[in-house]
Amino acid sequence: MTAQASARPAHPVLIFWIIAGWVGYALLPWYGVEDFYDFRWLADGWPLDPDYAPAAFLVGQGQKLWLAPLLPALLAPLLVLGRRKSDPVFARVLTAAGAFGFAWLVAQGLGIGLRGFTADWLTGLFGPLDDRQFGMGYGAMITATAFLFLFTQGIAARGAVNGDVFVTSAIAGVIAVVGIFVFFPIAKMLLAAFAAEGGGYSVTGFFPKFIDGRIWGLGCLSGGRCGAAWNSLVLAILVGVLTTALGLAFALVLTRSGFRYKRLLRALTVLPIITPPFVIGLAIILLFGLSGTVTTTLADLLGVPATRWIYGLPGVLIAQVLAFTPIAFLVLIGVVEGVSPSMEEAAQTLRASRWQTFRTVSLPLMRPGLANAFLLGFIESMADFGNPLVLGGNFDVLSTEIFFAIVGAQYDQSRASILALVLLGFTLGAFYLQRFWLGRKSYTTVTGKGDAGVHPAMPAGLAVPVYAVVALWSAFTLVVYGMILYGSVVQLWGVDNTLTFKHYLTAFRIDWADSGLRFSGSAWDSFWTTILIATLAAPLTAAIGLITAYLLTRQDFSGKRAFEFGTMLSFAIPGTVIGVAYILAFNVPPIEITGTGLILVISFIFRNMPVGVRAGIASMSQLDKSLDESSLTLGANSWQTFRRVILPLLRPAILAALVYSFVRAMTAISAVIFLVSARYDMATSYIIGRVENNDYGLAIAYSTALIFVMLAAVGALQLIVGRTEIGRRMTQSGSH
Amino acid sequence: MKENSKAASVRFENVSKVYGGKVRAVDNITLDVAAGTLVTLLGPSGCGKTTTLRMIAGLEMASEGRIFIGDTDVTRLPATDRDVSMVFQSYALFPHMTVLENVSYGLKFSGFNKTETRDRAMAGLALVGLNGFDSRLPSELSGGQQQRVAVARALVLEPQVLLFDEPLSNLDAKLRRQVREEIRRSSRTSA
Amino acid sequence: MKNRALLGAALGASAALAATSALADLNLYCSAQEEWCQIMEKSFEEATGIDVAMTRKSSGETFAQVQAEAANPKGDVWWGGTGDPHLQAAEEDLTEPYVSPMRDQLHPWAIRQAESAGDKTIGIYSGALGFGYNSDMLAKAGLPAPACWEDLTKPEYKGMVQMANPNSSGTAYTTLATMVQLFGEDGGFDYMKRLHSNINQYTKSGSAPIKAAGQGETLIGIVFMHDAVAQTVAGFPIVTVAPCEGTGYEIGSMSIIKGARNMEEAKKFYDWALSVEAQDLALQVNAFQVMSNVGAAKSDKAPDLASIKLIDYDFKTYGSSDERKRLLAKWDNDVSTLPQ
Repeated sequence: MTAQASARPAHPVLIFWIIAGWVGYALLPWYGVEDFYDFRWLADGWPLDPDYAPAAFLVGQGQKLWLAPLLPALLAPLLVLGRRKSDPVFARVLTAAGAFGFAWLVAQGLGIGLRGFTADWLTGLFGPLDDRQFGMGYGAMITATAFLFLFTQGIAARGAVNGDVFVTSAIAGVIAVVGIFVFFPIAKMLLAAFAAEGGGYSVTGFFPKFIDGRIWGLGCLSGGRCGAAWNSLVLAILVGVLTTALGLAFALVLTRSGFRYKRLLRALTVLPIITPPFVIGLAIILLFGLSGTVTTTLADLLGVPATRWIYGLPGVLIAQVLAFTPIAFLVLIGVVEGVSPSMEEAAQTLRASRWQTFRTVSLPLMRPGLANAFLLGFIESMADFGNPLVLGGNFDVLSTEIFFAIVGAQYDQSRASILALVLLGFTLGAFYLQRFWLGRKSYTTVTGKGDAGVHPAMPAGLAVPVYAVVALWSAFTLVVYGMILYGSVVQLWGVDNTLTFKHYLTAFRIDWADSGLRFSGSAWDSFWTTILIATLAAPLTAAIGLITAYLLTRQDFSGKRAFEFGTMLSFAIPGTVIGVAYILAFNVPPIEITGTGLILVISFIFRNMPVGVRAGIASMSQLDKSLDESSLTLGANSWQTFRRVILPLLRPAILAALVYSFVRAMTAISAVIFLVSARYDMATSYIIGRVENNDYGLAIAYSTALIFVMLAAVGALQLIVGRTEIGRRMTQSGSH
Repeated sequence: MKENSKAASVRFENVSKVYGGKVRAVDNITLDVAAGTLVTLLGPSGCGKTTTLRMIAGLEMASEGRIFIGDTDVTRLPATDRDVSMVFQSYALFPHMTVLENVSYGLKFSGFNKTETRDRAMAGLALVGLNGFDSRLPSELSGGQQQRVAVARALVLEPQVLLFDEPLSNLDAKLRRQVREEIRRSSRTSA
Repeated sequence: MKNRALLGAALGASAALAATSALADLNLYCSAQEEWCQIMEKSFEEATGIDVAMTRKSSGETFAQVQAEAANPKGDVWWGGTGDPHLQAAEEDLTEPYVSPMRDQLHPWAIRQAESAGDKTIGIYSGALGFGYNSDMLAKAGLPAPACWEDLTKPEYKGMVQMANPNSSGTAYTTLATMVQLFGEDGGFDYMKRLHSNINQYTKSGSAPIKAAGQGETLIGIVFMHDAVAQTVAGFPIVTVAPCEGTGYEIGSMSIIKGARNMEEAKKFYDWALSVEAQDLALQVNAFQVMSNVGAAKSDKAPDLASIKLIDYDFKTYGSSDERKRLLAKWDNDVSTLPQ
């Protein structure tokens, strides 16, 4: 069938995008309308009223003439419709039209803003402009997208990435959205690093701030205090190593042991990521603080005075390991399951003992998982801000320093940017280190041959410590969550232990009113907003993340490494920086979305996408490339291959990405602080407000409710995504 | 698999493949294979046999020269747009699909309706002697059976060109003979 | 095709989210506690019929947001929160000068605050600096109750005093500036150094020390007295102390954001917020600050300002960014690096 398609020059995809471009240009309102889903503009002066007019009508009436050059770029593709894909003219025209149209759209959007030209040199060049434009609306967005995909069809026809339109478009699409929603805001923010006092930019102001002792001091080696940079680095490495080790231990118990209650264990392992911020910190203080249960009990037993030992590195470490182990686990479980049993069986038949098999075959094959889990733990720890805030004591870390450089008494955005640069440097380092460690080896274990082996059980020497660690950590998690649950049903946590349900009533009261059900509890508004935003963000995050992972593992194109790092960027920067950067970037045209729910969804997508990417990469590097290739030679195109072969084999990664992004959208706080608005308040910002107001009971009750909602959601996701049966024999223990 | 007029010739004009600007895997090959003929590439391992096949399939793009299938210049066409099927050295069976789903896979993208797809896939399975195995997963088959699924999956598409990458390398002598016969027979019926 | 449908549904739903809150008649940025913000919003709506969209953030966060939004302001009026960020916003020309007809009903300190900032901000409440201690812990340890700033440097409280880091917290900066004004610059820094050896932790957030005291994680926390009183009212065993040497105070402020889209409504809110009616709302939400309107009612739980020796806090000098940077740098170099 493909033969016919290339014989007759019908280009359904091309036609679609040409039409889209014209619809955007000539039918839809070019600029943003007040309410995106409100279609009153149809009856309110459209298409002639300048507020709602499509670009074509604006230009036709002699307004906004800078939109006129887009017209030839929209006309040109019509000329090549009759030509074949292999015709060089076809490729050249589409490439040129798409590139010019897109570039012009971006240039005019950035160059002309609310007050005419946005830069002095433009005014100098063209004279003052007596006009202005608002943020892009439907029309501009759709036309821009159309130009982008016309361009990719052009370069694909020219032979880019083996001439694959889907892959070329996916690459360009991901680059475009990452560019707009990650690079652009971060660049805007980092420019402040070079901002001199009172406007202008200078490099001389940068260095004194950069080599500040509070960042790089090494006083702790001689009894004093170390700089925030070293503290962050040490903490992040410890957290990365410990979370990876714990995550691996849990994954091993689940896949390579006869443990009975695996479902329960699985639920337990994800519990910490579904916990809103500050709650774990509070629980740890109540356990290990100066007046904490454990501390006072031990102090009485041993006859030593109770200390504030938890404040500082130990406290932050415990809280972060508790919080981030689930992420390592989610990445590792897919990889540990994916290691081919036959390879392990082969090793055993080659006279390797169970332990040798584990050390020489299983463990090395898990390397992509280990490396990615470490990287995520490292970065999460670097960017985490809630736990150091509550438990940090005098242990300063970069993320809190950055936050308070922005909102604290210093009002020093340039210091924040410099600290963010240091943090980025560490992340970049960790990123390259993991690449170096993985090297060029192949970790493929799912080849195209059926594999019916059985994962061997862990060697005894390993099983005992693994069981011990898992048991201890599970017990600890249970105690922490027991305390949280308890805290939500007492009058005042730690002071008045009378049982009460009043906190739940205040938050989630439902009344019968004349008009029917009335959600009169104070938490309902933020609760529904949070659910809506998380539900929207999760699938989009997983989709973009997995497509990116697919491009990174399956396709070769120049600039791949930079592309890969770019997708990690938004994750590596503390949310507060992202929050401020988003306001700087998206409060003014061309993209004006502050105060909307959309900006929350977008910020979640790009903050959480890296987990989807990492989980996807880890799992995809186990799938043999011949699976894709045979699908291609069987006539499926890249999209169909991705959809029917890759995705079904990636269910654990999909689940990880979905769960993670859903949950993070419900529990993230740092970026959210700056992006919530009166209409779109989020659960976490509500909770923080309560904590600040000493309403611990209410805050914890709300958190507990969220935990149960998320547990239900995770369960539902597991059901929806399901498992992929590839016919391996059940492990000896008879579990699945 | 009756009369098949689709078989097409394959023509290489001074084709080379260079990896990373240095390694020359295939150097200036010119060859012409008539439609419907069975040609075997022989040579020591590493001499470029697989690369040549992958260039015909469109999995690798030629660095220099031109490739024709029939009269069409396919040098820049991606794999999915070429009417070529390939049986992989590793079989590349999709582990999450049953035998029948594997064999039907390509038919689904060839515009056949459901019943036709099923009929053709079953016929393909019958051809390689795997009746009754249709609902098994690849991991539940023996090595030789898996290979035959891979062959059936490629054959049912009745492609212009059918490629086998070391198709028999993993089989014992008896199976090897059996499968070789099947390929020869299908090539004859196809031609 | 199913995917396309799903994608379409997702796009449709996200379109629903793109609605802004710009439809409200007044966008209020509120930096006081949640309840107080809510009651202000509701009461103003009831009093005037003007639809209010309120966003609550801490004063530092709101300042960062107002600064970031300067090119295209989204807020109209910023109510509440400690005075320094409001003064900083005035200094950076982010806020609009306005002289309210209500001004003659205010305490002199509120008017002085406005005059020092070129009328770009005005005091709505004030709260004195002090400290609080956990009475249970004090009794258990058998220690005397501290009554003066000087007491906090006594060796028996070693490792038991907590205050915020002046680099991150306006409260702690007020403490530093208070000591400098109370004891002179040399005496003030000498005090901070002696205090330093008793400090167990410099927290990031201003009110964190007294929360820690409430939970029994530190004996003494240096905070604004109304924060300490709020802990007591919430049920924690906290005793609030007004230091015997005298003390400084903050002025919670209000500003109109420059370029506000709803200037008329912003001014209406501004006038209303200075009225007795609006300021009496504080009592309903356990806010124990002293309100700026002379006629506003006082809570019996609130620290009695008459019994507190207040210094003549110089907001113009110590609120300026140059002086702040100088003092913070000096504290960083001379105090925070000392061994404890």
